[in-house]
Amino acid sequence: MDQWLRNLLLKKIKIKSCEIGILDILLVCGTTAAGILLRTTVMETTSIAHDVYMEYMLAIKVVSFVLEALLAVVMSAFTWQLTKNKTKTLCCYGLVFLLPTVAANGAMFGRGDVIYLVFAMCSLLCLVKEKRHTALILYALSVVCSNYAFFLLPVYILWFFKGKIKLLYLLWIPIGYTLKQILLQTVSLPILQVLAMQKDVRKDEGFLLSYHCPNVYQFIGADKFPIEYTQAGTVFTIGLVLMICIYLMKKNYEADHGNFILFSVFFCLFVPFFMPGMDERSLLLAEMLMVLYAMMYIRRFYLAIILSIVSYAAYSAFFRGGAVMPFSFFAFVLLGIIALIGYDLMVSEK
Amino acid sequence: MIDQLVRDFFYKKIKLGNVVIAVTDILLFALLTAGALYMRYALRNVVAGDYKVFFEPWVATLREAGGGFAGLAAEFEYVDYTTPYLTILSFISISPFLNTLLLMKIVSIGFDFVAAIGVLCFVYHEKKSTTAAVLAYGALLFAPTVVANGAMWAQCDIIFTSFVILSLLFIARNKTTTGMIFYGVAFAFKLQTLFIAPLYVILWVKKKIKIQQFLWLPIVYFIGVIPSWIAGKNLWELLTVYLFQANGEMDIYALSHKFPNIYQIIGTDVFLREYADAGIWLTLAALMFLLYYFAKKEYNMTNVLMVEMGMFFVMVIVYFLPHMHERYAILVDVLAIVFAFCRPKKLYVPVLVLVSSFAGYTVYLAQNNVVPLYVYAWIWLLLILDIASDIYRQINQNYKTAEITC
Repeated sequence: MDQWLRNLLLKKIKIKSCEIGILDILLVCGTTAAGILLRTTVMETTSIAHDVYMEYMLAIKVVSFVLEALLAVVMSAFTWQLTKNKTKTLCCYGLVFLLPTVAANGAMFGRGDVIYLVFAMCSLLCLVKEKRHTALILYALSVVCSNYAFFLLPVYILWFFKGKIKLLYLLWIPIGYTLKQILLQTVSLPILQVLAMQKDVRKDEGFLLSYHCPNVYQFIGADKFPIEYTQAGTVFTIGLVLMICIYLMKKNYEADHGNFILFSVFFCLFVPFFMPGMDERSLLLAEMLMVLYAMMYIRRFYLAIILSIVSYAAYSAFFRGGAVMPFSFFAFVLLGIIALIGYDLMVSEK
Repeated sequence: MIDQLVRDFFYKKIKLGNVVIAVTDILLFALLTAGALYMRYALRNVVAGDYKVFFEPWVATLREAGGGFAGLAAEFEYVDYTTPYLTILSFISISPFLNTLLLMKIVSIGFDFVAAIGVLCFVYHEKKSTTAAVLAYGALLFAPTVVANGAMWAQCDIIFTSFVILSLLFIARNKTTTGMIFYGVAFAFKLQTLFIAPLYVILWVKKKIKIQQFLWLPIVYFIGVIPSWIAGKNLWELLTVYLFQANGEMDIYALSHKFPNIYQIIGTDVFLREYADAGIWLTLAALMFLLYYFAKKEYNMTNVLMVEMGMFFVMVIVYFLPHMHERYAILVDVLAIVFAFCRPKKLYVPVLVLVSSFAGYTVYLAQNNVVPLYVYAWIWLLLILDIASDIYRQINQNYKTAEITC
């Protein structure tokens, strides 16, 4: 009986060319069920009390939920592409589907950040699979959906200099951005109204340098010289990114999958850390990439967990109207993570 | 001449059964026991809030119903203890000696020593060193949370903890049936025993225990409720005490009850209903990942790895599960001591575990919050990550070694 049950658990079933174990199926089913139940428990929450928003809230949450599942599948496909390890692939699916920030973003917050995330991750996956044109089209779509996608721009530029992307393909980015601006200015769709409502959330907080984002402005005060520091901080960040890009262009590194993910994680952490006006959702893309990085390099797995907690603490500060811990502490933790990833980047010689 | 005699006396070794023990170890054992008893004596008069609010009225109710076995028929407005501990309280209620508070503390202190002996035997079984075993015995008896739990607070968490330790000891000695009976006894006392249940699942997958041995849990639990059933209580209610506890209705007012876990970082006071449910699903999901990985991987399950894994499971559960009380990590406190004496390089683990765990006790007992609990929550998180990486390394190292040997 004992052995029969053990064998059943560890039994492998062959579906076409793919071999999958009962334990694997149990994990996928279990994590999917837990992810669904997790979302249903917080579905009733309302983060933006506005009539127009309330009308579409459920629709946004349902669409987000479907796309979150899709994101988990894309991420697991990405992990498979990077590691060819079935255990890691299945774990990645579950981890992404159950990430508190991902679940909270859609089911609790009612934000649609998962849309740009899906496009961004599909774009990166296509780039890894060497479908470069498709990758850039998807990236442009990601930019259309959210400005957060710009965090990845330095990586695309670096990959262009490494001869992995054609200059022509990069044109999709300004095309996408211009299209977005035209749409915003001319077309009056309900979804755009909803997006405008979401921006109104910040009205009560005033103009700040950081909206619950644990970044450098938490050290100096998010409400000090907001207008001046916003301009200076933006230039400062762009300058820093440029310097790092030039350094990396000169550096002798392998343009492989590992470095691609490493660079992506680094810039997705670095830019929101220095850029003014960032909010609690700015670290979502970095979280996704950190999961991939952790899957590739298990020794860095703890960074994914810590980043996820820091990121969720930022969400929590929004939900409860203030943080339990001083935000400067979270900023220090994030700085530590950036330093470690930066160290990995420094030692990634050919 | 006398000098040498004294020296020889201290270094003398005595044979007790199969064990050769030095006089110094015996003296150390005696001194630690005396010290542990004195510490508990010093705390005898402390009256915690729980005693006034819960224990005293419960014992009074049992006394009114006749005490002893007859007292078990008593009708309570609210009680979340199972029959075995209520039986102890019922006999305490009619005891002609000492007062209720002291008797409750004496019972818990008795189990402090049972747990300490269990720890001693486990460490001796692993290290074959009487000195290490006696030191582990002393470390447990001097652990602040163990001392505070019973001797100060009059709580009984050490009872189930001591049975879990005995269970692991017997499993380590390959007496798995006895081990599972002890686990069943622990379960009959407290629901928190289930925090370590994932370890037993892994032990089954790794062929350390048999599936039918899990039946000891319901069997011993059922035997435990028989006195109350005979006294006239409803059997269904007796069997479903834990279901009432598990719904968390009594603890809904905060996501963490002074335990330094994730809720101290994100806030214990908002989205009480939502986070309570979401936290359960997240914890279950985390366990699924761990069970999947530990079950799938091929490695040699050593006794020390068993303790470490058990400690790890409990650490993860109390860190993510909502409504955890400051006392719920006592199993981690005890297992960390066993672990550190088996792997002395990891001595910092019980130190940090006890410091973090005791912080919660301090907030409750002394109403004191010098260092915010979120600081300890971060320490706990770092410990979880450290233990996780250690287990990962061991599992993979183990496997590689096995491959090389093959």
